[in-house]
Amino acid sequence: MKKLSIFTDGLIKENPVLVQYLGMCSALAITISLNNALGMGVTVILVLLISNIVISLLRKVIPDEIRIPVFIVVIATLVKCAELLLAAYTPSLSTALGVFIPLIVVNCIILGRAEAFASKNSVGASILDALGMGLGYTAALTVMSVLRQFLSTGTINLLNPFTNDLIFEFGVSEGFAAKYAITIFKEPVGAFLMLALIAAFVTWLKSRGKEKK
Amino acid sequence: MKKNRTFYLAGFLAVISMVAGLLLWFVNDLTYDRIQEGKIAAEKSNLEKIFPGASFAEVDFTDDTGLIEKVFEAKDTGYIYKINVKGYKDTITFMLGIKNSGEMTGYEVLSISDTPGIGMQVAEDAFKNSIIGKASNDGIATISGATISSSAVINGIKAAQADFNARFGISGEGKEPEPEPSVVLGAKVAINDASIDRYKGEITENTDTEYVVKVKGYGLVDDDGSHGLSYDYNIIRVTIDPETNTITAVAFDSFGDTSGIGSKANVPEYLDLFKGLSLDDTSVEVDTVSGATCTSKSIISAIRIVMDAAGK
Repeated sequence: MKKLSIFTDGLIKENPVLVQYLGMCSALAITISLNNALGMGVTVILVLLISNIVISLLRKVIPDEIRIPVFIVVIATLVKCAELLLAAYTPSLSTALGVFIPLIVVNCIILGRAEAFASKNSVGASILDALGMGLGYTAALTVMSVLRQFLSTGTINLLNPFTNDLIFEFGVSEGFAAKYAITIFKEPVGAFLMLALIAAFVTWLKSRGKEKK
Repeated sequence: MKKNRTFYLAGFLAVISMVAGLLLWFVNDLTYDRIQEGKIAAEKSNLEKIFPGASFAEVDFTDDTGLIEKVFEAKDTGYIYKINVKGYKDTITFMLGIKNSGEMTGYEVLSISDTPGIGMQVAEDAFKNSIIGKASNDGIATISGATISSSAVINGIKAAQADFNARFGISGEGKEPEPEPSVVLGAKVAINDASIDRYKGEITENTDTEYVVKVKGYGLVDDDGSHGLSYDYNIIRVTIDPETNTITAVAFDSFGDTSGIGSKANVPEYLDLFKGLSLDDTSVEVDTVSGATCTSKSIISAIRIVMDAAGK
């Protein structure tokens, strides 16, 4: 039961983006399209997962004094690998995400989970934690990007990052959403507004749960 | 004891870093070729135009000007430079190919939005041909009348030449650009041709040997200000020899047309062509300056007015 809560905590109750406000930089910058959000989300999940596993495995050997430098070396290595692999196999995604891939190194979520969780808990628990937090991050990005992309362009589409084939597209070519595209949601201002709205909604959800108890 | 601890910490970090380095080496090795290919894929079709069939790789370069965007090495063939320069209106992007022998063999303009007929000349064959075949240390002549666009492109070419020459240790100046002929003649036109009629003018001063004619040029010919307001009449002084009834000199007292365009007709090389022209025959055909037709016709109109006054 406790194990399950490690996983579910990251999704809503301790959602890294919407509750802990970590990893803001990428969440605000790249959520222009669903493609970007999912690409970033999956990359972060993988980096977070491997970093949590490695650090949890090494938690008894890593000397306490130099634990932060060691974490950073591990994370930086994983991110660089991810960057190279993305550039090699998904060039269009790599171009779209640009500098925000190398910036995963300083994404607080990953160093935060290493320091706060993986360095103190077993491998199994760390995996659950990584998946929960990673999915929570991805979910937040996805919700933000779907709303931003739809409001600012009237369409949502998803491309296969390996081949650039269209997987699905949902759009309104006529009617309200297409006619009144709110382009501000493409801009950074729109990113902040959207984040605030969603975060407010999540806070309301959480507080409502407490009142019931 | 404490010292040992320090060594242990340093050693631990070193081992972790080494493992990290090994992993990176492995992943880099795995992805390097694909990444290089991906980088070139977008440019491949343009590169192929310059060195068909070569295998390309992006390489590092030295450039103080900031104009060079990318450099590609065509294996065993030469180098291709992708260059962005500031044109008259917007950025001009072009590629320059230099063979390993030092000969410039390729020039392709990828994007340009300068003025058609003027700046756009840098994307035309005449300019391209003035580059192709030159050596990597030769100068290129600007296009007169399209100085901004052509000197921008030439600055880009110079940046590429500098990098190329540094690679191959080529030093010293090559050939200077051949000076462009100061006047390029266009179609001939008869002095009494109907197309001259629009350039109306009048004699403002005259003696037996000299006539001053105030005549409309390019800017005033339509009488409606459609060419802008910064134009004036051309005041042209025609000197004649009353005995032989021929022209001895044509000169501008005041030039009212576009400098850089119409002014191509205001050069001694062109005006001297009228020397010795008989004042009696208005059906004779005379030259106009290519690219400065209106101003040429303005001059011809002035001559016709003098002929009407002094000829038989």
